[in-house]
Amino acid sequence: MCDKKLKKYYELLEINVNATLSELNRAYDRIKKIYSTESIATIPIDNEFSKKEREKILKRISKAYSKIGTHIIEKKKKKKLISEHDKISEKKEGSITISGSIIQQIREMQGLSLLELSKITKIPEYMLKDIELENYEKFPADDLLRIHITNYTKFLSIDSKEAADDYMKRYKKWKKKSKKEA
Amino acid sequence: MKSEIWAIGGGKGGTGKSIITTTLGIYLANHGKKVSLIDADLGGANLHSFLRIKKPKKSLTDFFEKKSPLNEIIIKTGAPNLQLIVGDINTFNPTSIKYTQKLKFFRHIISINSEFILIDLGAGTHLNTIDSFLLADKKIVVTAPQITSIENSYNFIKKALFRKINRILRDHQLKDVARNAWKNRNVNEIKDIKTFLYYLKKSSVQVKNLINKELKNFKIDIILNQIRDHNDIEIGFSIKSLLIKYLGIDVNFSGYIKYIDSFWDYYNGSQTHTSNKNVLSTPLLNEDTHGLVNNLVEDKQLNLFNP
Repeated sequence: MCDKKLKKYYELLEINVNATLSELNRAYDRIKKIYSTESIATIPIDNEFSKKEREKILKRISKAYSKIGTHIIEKKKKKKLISEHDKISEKKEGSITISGSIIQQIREMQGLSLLELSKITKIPEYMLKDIELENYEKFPADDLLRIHITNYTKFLSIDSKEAADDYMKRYKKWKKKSKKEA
Repeated sequence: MKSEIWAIGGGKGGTGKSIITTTLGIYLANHGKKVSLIDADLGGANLHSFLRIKKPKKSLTDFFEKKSPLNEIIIKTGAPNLQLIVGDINTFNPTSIKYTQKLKFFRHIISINSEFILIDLGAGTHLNTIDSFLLADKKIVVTAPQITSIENSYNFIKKALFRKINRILRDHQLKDVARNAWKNRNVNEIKDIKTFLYYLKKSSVQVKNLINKELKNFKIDIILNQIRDHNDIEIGFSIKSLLIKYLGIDVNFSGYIKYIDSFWDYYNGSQTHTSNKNVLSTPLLNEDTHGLVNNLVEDKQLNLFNP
């Protein structure tokens, strides 16, 4: 939605653009009451400020209310996404591993499907899936795997070098172990 | 020093304009600001009583009629930062002052060595009152949660806006546009300020732009006095909203002052309250005043969600 229009809606409800959802609800209740009931504030201008006009305002107010409500919820979602992303990044800084499932979570938070990502990164969709599910036995040669992980995580705005180092370390450990067992 | 002029008006008598002007002045002075109070109440200047000083002999009439300089009619009060200028019934005689004189008066006012100049406009909607209101930096309307007070405040604001729009059009050589619109108001279906503005805006793009600009810059600060409960505070928000949406002007609900039962005891009774003569006070100096003055000084308004 264009900012100018949104600003008009906020003006109509007489609230600040940083208003929270509960503030919006309270402002809406108050303003609805002002224009739908009689009070000592409305009676003196009853003749000039007709009922019809006030009803028109009420309609505009209710439209503004739903538009701002949607806007605030969308804003909240976006913020949550970013903060969760930050949380994961923090975890990572605390040298907690970047597992396939964390990569998957970050991708999902950004609302991206594997197919979309595959088209953008030119990595086959099944390969992306294998990385997320940590299907070690299906992995290609180390060098290629590293390039894929780097490109994939870079796209998700994760520190790709760190992610690839961490991921490869665990993969190599698993490979060594499974070789030994064999 | 650039001084800021606050005009305190609102139409109805008895809403507390004088005591509020005094309280705001004392508050600011007690906080180190240099303040001048101007009593421009036509019907009965009595700021001096709230400051507990005797009615001064010199008044603004001397300024207008005898050309006395302003500093000769300034009166000292109990607080070192606070001074008073008194008007009287002759000062704002309907026929005695021309618009140019009022402008001159305002130029002189600004030259007083004060950071804040608070003008108590008193009751009524006389042209001199309206003009002083319009010339101020801050246009404060004091009202109370009673239907008559609110009605008079609306009338006062509408009159001020009407005067302002006429003056703006006049300044742009469009005097006749407004005059003719009003003269033929029956034909033009002009019933009130709203339909008047609507008609004018339709007349030309230039007029429309001028009016829209004026409406946007026309800012009122509302003080609600004598509130008794939470519902009364809501009335303040209603007044604000209705003025914004009906007239299209900018309105701040700056704050409220609680009704005090024993208010007059403070002035009528014994002088115990004045035991400390160096500190001026009023019964209204309290927490609410603190928030109110801050809002006025910082051009903020009452918190919508935690009034």
